[in-house]
Amino acid sequence: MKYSARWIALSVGAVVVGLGVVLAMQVGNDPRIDATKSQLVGQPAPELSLRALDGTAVDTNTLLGKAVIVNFWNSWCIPCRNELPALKEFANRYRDDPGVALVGIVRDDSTRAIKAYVKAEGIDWVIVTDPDSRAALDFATRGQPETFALDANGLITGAQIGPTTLRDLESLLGSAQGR
Amino acid sequence: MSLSARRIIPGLGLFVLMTVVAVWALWPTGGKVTINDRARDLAAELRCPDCEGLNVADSTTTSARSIRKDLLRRLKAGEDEAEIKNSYANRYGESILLNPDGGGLGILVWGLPVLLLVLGGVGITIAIMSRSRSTRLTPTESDREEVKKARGK
Repeated sequence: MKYSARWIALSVGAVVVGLGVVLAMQVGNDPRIDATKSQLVGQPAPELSLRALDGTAVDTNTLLGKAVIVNFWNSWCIPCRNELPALKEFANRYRDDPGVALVGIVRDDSTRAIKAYVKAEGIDWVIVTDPDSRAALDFATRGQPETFALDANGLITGAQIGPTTLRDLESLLGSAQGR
Repeated sequence: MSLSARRIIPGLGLFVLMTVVAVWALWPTGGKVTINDRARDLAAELRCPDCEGLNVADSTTTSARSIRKDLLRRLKAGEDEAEIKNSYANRYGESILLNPDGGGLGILVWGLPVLLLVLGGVGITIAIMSRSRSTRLTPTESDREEVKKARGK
Protein backbone atom coordinates (compact mmCIF):
# COMPACT_ATOMS: atom_id res chain seq x y z
CA MET A 1 0.00 0.00 0.00
CA LYS A 2 2.77 2.35 1.06
CA TYR A 3 4.67 1.75 -2.20
CA SER A 4 1.57 1.93 -4.46
CA ALA A 5 0.55 5.26 -2.96
CA ARG A 6 4.08 6.53 -3.44
CA TRP A 7 4.11 5.45 -7.07
CA ILE A 8 0.76 7.03 -7.78
CA ALA A 9 1.80 10.28 -6.11
CA LEU A 10 5.03 10.18 -8.11
CA SER A 11 3.13 9.57 -11.40
CA VAL A 12 0.69 12.42 -10.75
CA GLY A 13 3.63 14.66 -9.82
CA ALA A 14 5.46 13.69 -13.01
CA VAL A 15 2.38 14.46 -15.12
CA VAL A 16 1.95 17.86 -13.45
CA VAL A 17 5.64 18.71 -13.87
CA GLY A 18 5.53 17.56 -17.51
CA LEU A 19 2.48 19.72 -18.15
CA GLY A 20 4.21 22.66 -16.51
CA VAL A 21 7.26 22.22 -18.74
CA VAL A 22 5.16 21.96 -21.90
CA LEU A 23 3.10 25.02 -20.98
CA ALA A 24 6.23 26.98 -20.05
CA MET A 25 7.63 26.20 -23.51
CA GLN A 26 4.47 27.61 -25.07
CA VAL A 27 4.73 30.98 -23.31
CA GLY A 28 5.02 33.62 -26.02
CA ASN A 29 3.33 31.43 -28.63
CA ASP A 30 0.05 33.21 -29.18
CA PRO A 31 -2.43 30.62 -30.42
CA ARG A 32 -4.26 33.39 -32.30
CA ILE A 33 -1.16 34.64 -34.08
CA ASP A 34 -2.57 33.27 -37.34
CA ALA A 35 -5.38 35.83 -36.99
CA THR A 36 -2.89 38.63 -37.67
CA LYS A 37 -2.00 37.51 -41.17
CA SER A 38 -3.83 36.02 -44.11
CA GLN A 39 -3.41 32.29 -44.66
CA LEU A 40 -4.29 32.75 -48.33
CA VAL A 41 -1.07 34.35 -49.55
CA GLY A 42 0.39 32.10 -52.24
CA GLN A 43 -2.97 30.53 -53.01
CA PRO A 44 -5.30 31.20 -55.94
CA ALA A 45 -7.73 34.00 -55.21
CA PRO A 46 -11.32 32.90 -54.57
CA GLU A 47 -13.73 33.22 -57.47
CA LEU A 48 -15.36 36.62 -57.52
CA SER A 49 -18.72 37.31 -59.06
CA LEU A 50 -19.89 40.70 -57.89
CA ARG A 51 -21.70 43.78 -59.13
CA ALA A 52 -20.28 47.29 -59.19
CA LEU A 53 -22.39 50.19 -57.97
CA ASP A 54 -23.29 51.03 -61.59
CA GLY A 55 -24.47 47.44 -62.15
CA THR A 56 -21.56 46.16 -64.23
CA ALA A 57 -20.31 42.65 -63.48
CA VAL A 58 -16.91 42.27 -61.86
CA ASP A 59 -15.61 38.73 -61.81
CA THR A 60 -12.34 36.86 -61.68
CA ASN A 61 -12.11 36.66 -65.49
CA THR A 62 -12.34 40.42 -65.94
CA LEU A 63 -9.42 40.85 -63.52
CA LEU A 64 -7.09 38.20 -64.95
CA GLY A 65 -4.02 39.58 -66.68
CA LYS A 66 -3.79 42.54 -64.29
CA ALA A 67 -2.14 43.23 -60.99
CA VAL A 68 -5.15 43.77 -58.75
CA ILE A 69 -5.44 45.45 -55.39
CA VAL A 70 -8.60 44.30 -53.59
CA ASN A 71 -9.62 46.46 -50.67
CA PHE A 72 -12.39 45.37 -48.26
CA TRP A 73 -13.99 48.35 -46.58
CA ASN A 74 -17.13 50.00 -45.23
CA SER A 75 -18.18 53.64 -45.19
CA TRP A 76 -18.78 53.58 -41.41
CA CYS A 77 -15.35 52.16 -40.59
CA ILE A 78 -12.96 54.81 -39.23
CA PRO A 79 -9.70 53.01 -40.19
CA CYS A 80 -11.16 52.66 -43.72
CA ARG A 81 -11.75 56.40 -43.80
CA ASN A 82 -8.21 56.95 -42.53
CA GLU A 83 -6.69 55.00 -45.40
CA LEU A 84 -8.82 56.72 -48.03
CA PRO A 85 -6.20 59.40 -48.90
CA ALA A 86 -3.64 56.65 -49.62
CA LEU A 87 -6.12 54.79 -51.82
CA LYS A 88 -6.98 58.01 -53.68
CA GLU A 89 -3.30 58.73 -54.31
CA PHE A 90 -2.73 55.16 -55.45
CA ALA A 91 -5.72 55.32 -57.78
CA ASN A 92 -4.41 58.60 -59.24
CA ARG A 93 -1.00 57.09 -59.92
CA TYR A 94 -2.31 54.04 -61.76
CA ARG A 95 -5.49 55.42 -63.33
CA ASP A 96 -4.05 55.16 -66.83
CA ASP A 97 -2.18 51.90 -66.33
CA PRO A 98 -4.19 49.08 -67.97
CA GLY A 99 -2.11 46.50 -66.09
CA VAL A 100 -3.26 47.66 -62.66
CA ALA A 101 -6.74 47.52 -61.13
CA LEU A 102 -8.04 48.72 -57.81
CA VAL A 103 -11.27 47.16 -56.59
CA GLY A 104 -13.05 48.17 -53.42
CA ILE A 105 -15.33 45.49 -51.99
CA VAL A 106 -17.93 46.74 -49.55
CA ARG A 107 -17.84 44.25 -46.71
CA ASP A 108 -20.90 45.09 -44.67
CA ASP A 109 -22.73 48.30 -45.49
CA SER A 110 -25.89 49.55 -47.17
CA THR A 111 -25.72 50.39 -50.87
CA ARG A 112 -27.35 53.74 -50.15
CA ALA A 113 -24.71 54.73 -47.59
CA ILE A 114 -21.94 53.58 -49.90
CA LYS A 115 -23.28 55.47 -52.92
CA ALA A 116 -23.53 58.65 -50.86
CA TYR A 117 -20.01 58.22 -49.48
CA VAL A 118 -18.50 57.42 -52.90
CA LYS A 119 -20.13 60.52 -54.36
CA ALA A 120 -19.10 62.77 -51.46
CA GLU A 121 -15.48 61.56 -51.50
CA GLY A 122 -15.13 61.45 -55.29
CA ILE A 123 -14.06 57.80 -55.28
CA ASP A 124 -13.51 56.84 -58.89
CA TRP A 125 -12.21 53.28 -58.73
CA VAL A 126 -14.42 50.23 -59.03
CA ILE A 127 -16.56 49.69 -55.94
CA VAL A 128 -18.52 46.46 -55.70
CA THR A 129 -21.06 45.26 -53.18
CA ASP A 130 -20.79 41.86 -51.53
CA PRO A 131 -24.23 40.43 -50.78
CA ASP A 132 -24.12 38.07 -47.78
CA SER A 133 -20.40 38.90 -47.37
CA ARG A 134 -19.66 36.00 -49.70
CA ALA A 135 -16.37 37.44 -51.00
CA ALA A 136 -15.36 38.60 -47.52
CA LEU A 137 -15.84 35.03 -46.33
CA ASP A 138 -13.97 33.51 -49.28
CA PHE A 139 -11.05 35.88 -48.65
CA ALA A 140 -11.25 34.92 -44.95
CA THR A 141 -11.43 38.53 -43.81
CA ARG A 142 -11.75 39.18 -40.09
CA GLY A 143 -12.74 42.81 -40.29
CA GLN A 144 -12.08 45.92 -42.29
CA PRO A 145 -10.08 47.33 -43.89
CA GLU A 146 -8.20 44.40 -45.36
CA THR A 147 -6.28 44.62 -48.59
CA PHE A 148 -5.09 41.84 -50.91
CA ALA A 149 -2.80 41.84 -53.92
CA LEU A 150 -3.54 39.48 -56.82
CA ASP A 151 -1.12 38.82 -59.64
CA ALA A 152 -2.02 38.51 -63.33
CA ASN A 153 -2.69 34.79 -62.87
CA GLY A 154 -5.13 35.35 -60.04
CA LEU A 155 -2.73 34.29 -57.29
CA ILE A 156 -2.81 36.12 -53.95
CA THR A 157 0.67 37.56 -53.52
CA GLY A 158 0.19 39.74 -50.48
CA ALA A 159 -2.28 40.84 -47.87
CA GLN A 160 -2.58 43.46 -45.20
CA ILE A 161 -4.93 43.39 -42.27
CA GLY A 162 -5.74 46.92 -41.11
CA PRO A 163 -5.36 50.29 -42.81
CA THR A 164 -2.77 50.73 -45.54
CA THR A 165 -0.48 53.61 -46.42
CA LEU A 166 0.60 54.52 -49.94
CA ARG A 167 3.85 52.70 -49.25
CA ASP A 168 1.95 49.55 -48.23
CA LEU A 169 -0.13 49.73 -51.40
CA GLU A 170 3.01 50.11 -53.53
CA SER A 171 4.55 47.16 -51.74
CA LEU A 172 1.43 45.06 -52.34
CA LEU A 173 1.42 46.08 -56.00
CA GLY A 174 5.10 45.16 -56.20
CA SER A 175 4.30 41.66 -54.91
CA ALA A 176 1.53 41.33 -57.52
CA GLN A 177 3.87 42.46 -60.29
CA GLY A 178 6.67 40.20 -59.14
CA ARG A 179 8.94 43.14 -58.30
CA MET B 1 -24.98 -7.97 8.70
CA SER B 2 -21.24 -8.70 8.69
CA LEU B 3 -18.66 -5.97 9.16
CA SER B 4 -17.29 -6.25 5.58
CA ALA B 5 -20.82 -6.08 4.12
CA ARG B 6 -21.49 -2.93 6.14
CA ARG B 7 -18.36 -1.43 4.68
CA ILE B 8 -19.02 -2.45 1.07
CA ILE B 9 -22.72 -1.56 0.78
CA PRO B 10 -22.40 2.26 1.12
CA GLY B 11 -19.53 2.31 -1.41
CA LEU B 12 -21.46 0.10 -3.79
CA GLY B 13 -24.55 2.26 -3.36
CA LEU B 14 -22.55 5.39 -4.12
CA PHE B 15 -21.04 3.74 -7.20
CA VAL B 16 -24.47 2.71 -8.51
CA LEU B 17 -25.85 6.20 -7.85
CA MET B 18 -22.95 7.87 -9.68
CA THR B 19 -23.31 5.49 -12.62
CA VAL B 20 -27.05 6.18 -12.88
CA VAL B 21 -26.46 9.95 -12.75
CA ALA B 22 -23.67 9.75 -15.38
CA VAL B 23 -25.79 7.62 -17.73
CA TRP B 24 -28.78 9.94 -17.25
CA ALA B 25 -26.64 13.01 -17.96
CA LEU B 26 -24.97 11.54 -21.03
CA TRP B 27 -28.04 9.82 -22.48
CA PRO B 28 -28.80 11.39 -25.89
CA THR B 29 -31.97 13.44 -25.76
CA GLY B 30 -34.39 14.48 -28.48
CA GLY B 31 -35.18 12.76 -31.69
CA LYS B 32 -33.38 12.56 -34.97
CA VAL B 33 -30.50 14.99 -35.49
CA THR B 34 -31.42 17.29 -38.37
CA ILE B 35 -29.05 19.07 -40.73
CA ASN B 36 -29.95 22.33 -38.97
CA ASP B 37 -28.87 20.81 -35.64
CA ARG B 38 -25.58 19.74 -37.20
CA ALA B 39 -25.04 23.20 -38.68
CA ARG B 40 -25.75 24.81 -35.31
CA ASP B 41 -23.36 22.46 -33.50
CA LEU B 42 -20.69 23.14 -36.09
CA ALA B 43 -21.23 26.91 -35.82
CA ALA B 44 -20.70 26.62 -32.07
CA GLU B 45 -17.29 25.12 -32.73
CA LEU B 46 -16.09 28.00 -34.91
CA ARG B 47 -14.82 31.32 -33.59
CA CYS B 48 -16.59 34.38 -34.95
CA PRO B 49 -13.92 35.97 -37.19
CA ASP B 50 -14.86 39.59 -36.60
CA CYS B 51 -15.89 39.67 -32.95
CA GLU B 52 -14.22 38.90 -29.66
CA GLY B 53 -15.11 35.94 -27.48
CA LEU B 54 -18.10 34.68 -29.44
CA ASN B 55 -18.68 31.63 -31.54
CA VAL B 56 -20.35 31.77 -34.94
CA ALA B 57 -23.59 30.34 -33.54
CA ASP B 58 -23.97 33.15 -31.00
CA SER B 59 -22.74 36.08 -33.07
CA THR B 60 -24.98 38.42 -35.04
CA THR B 61 -22.31 39.91 -37.33
CA THR B 62 -22.68 39.64 -41.08
CA SER B 63 -19.67 37.32 -41.24
CA ALA B 64 -21.17 34.97 -38.68
CA ARG B 65 -24.49 34.96 -40.54
CA SER B 66 -22.66 34.20 -43.80
CA ILE B 67 -20.71 31.40 -42.16
CA ARG B 68 -23.92 29.89 -40.76
CA LYS B 69 -25.45 29.93 -44.25
CA ASP B 70 -22.26 28.44 -45.69
CA LEU B 71 -22.21 25.63 -43.10
CA LEU B 72 -25.80 24.72 -43.89
CA ARG B 73 -25.13 24.81 -47.63
CA ARG B 74 -22.05 22.59 -47.28
CA LEU B 75 -23.76 20.05 -45.03
CA LYS B 76 -26.65 19.87 -47.48
CA ALA B 77 -24.12 19.33 -50.27
CA GLY B 78 -22.84 16.27 -48.39
CA GLU B 79 -19.65 17.57 -46.83
CA ASP B 80 -18.97 16.25 -43.35
CA GLU B 81 -18.05 18.27 -40.26
CA ALA B 82 -14.36 17.40 -40.38
CA GLU B 83 -14.05 18.51 -44.03
CA ILE B 84 -15.80 21.80 -43.33
CA LYS B 85 -13.72 22.55 -40.23
CA ASN B 86 -10.58 21.71 -42.15
CA SER B 87 -11.57 24.06 -44.96
CA TYR B 88 -12.15 26.91 -42.47
CA ALA B 89 -8.87 26.19 -40.69
CA ASN B 90 -7.05 26.30 -44.04
CA ARG B 91 -8.49 29.72 -44.87
CA TYR B 92 -8.55 31.37 -41.45
CA GLY B 93 -5.90 29.40 -39.59
CA GLU B 94 -6.30 27.03 -36.64
CA SER B 95 -7.49 29.87 -34.41
CA ILE B 96 -10.91 29.74 -36.09
CA LEU B 97 -11.48 26.39 -34.33
CA LEU B 98 -12.68 26.75 -30.76
CA ASN B 99 -11.95 23.13 -29.83
CA PRO B 100 -8.30 22.16 -30.04
CA ASP B 101 -7.49 19.26 -32.33
CA GLY B 102 -6.32 15.94 -30.93
CA GLY B 103 -2.76 16.25 -32.24
CA GLY B 104 0.33 18.05 -30.98
CA LEU B 105 -0.24 20.12 -27.87
CA GLY B 106 -3.98 19.57 -28.25
CA ILE B 107 -3.55 15.97 -27.10
CA LEU B 108 -2.62 17.32 -23.65
CA VAL B 109 -5.89 19.16 -23.36
CA TRP B 110 -7.91 16.06 -24.17
CA GLY B 111 -5.65 13.37 -22.72
CA LEU B 112 -4.51 14.88 -19.43
CA PRO B 113 -7.88 15.00 -17.64
CA VAL B 114 -8.53 11.38 -18.64
CA LEU B 115 -5.07 10.33 -17.46
CA LEU B 116 -5.48 12.12 -14.14
CA LEU B 117 -8.95 10.63 -13.71
CA VAL B 118 -7.60 7.12 -14.33
CA LEU B 119 -4.64 7.62 -11.99
CA GLY B 120 -6.92 9.06 -9.32
CA GLY B 121 -9.36 6.17 -9.72
CA VAL B 122 -6.57 3.60 -9.45
CA GLY B 123 -5.24 5.37 -6.35
CA ILE B 124 -8.61 5.44 -4.63
CA THR B 125 -9.30 1.77 -5.50
CA ILE B 126 -5.92 0.65 -4.13
CA ALA B 127 -6.42 2.72 -0.99
CA ILE B 128 -9.89 1.25 -0.35
CA MET B 129 -8.75 -2.31 -1.08
CA SER B 130 -5.71 -2.15 1.18
CA ARG B 131 -7.79 -0.54 3.93
CA SER B 132 -10.34 -3.33 3.86
CA ARG B 133 -7.56 -5.93 3.79
CA SER B 134 -5.69 -4.52 6.77
CA THR B 135 -6.09 -6.55 9.97
CA ARG B 136 -8.30 -5.02 12.58
CA LEU B 137 -6.95 -4.93 16.13
CA THR B 138 -9.21 -6.63 18.60
CA PRO B 139 -8.66 -6.14 22.34
CA THR B 140 -7.18 -9.05 24.24
CA GLU B 141 -8.24 -10.03 27.71
CA SER B 142 -5.28 -8.20 29.26
CA ASP B 143 -6.22 -5.06 27.26
CA ARG B 144 -9.70 -5.21 28.73
CA GLU B 145 -8.23 -5.56 32.17
CA GLU B 146 -6.07 -2.50 31.58
CA VAL B 147 -9.08 -0.49 30.47
CA LYS B 148 -11.11 -1.67 33.44
CA LYS B 149 -8.29 -0.69 35.75
CA ALA B 150 -7.97 2.72 34.20
CA ARG B 151 -11.73 3.37 34.42
CA GLY B 152 -11.79 2.20 38.01
CA LYS B 153 -9.26 4.84 39.03
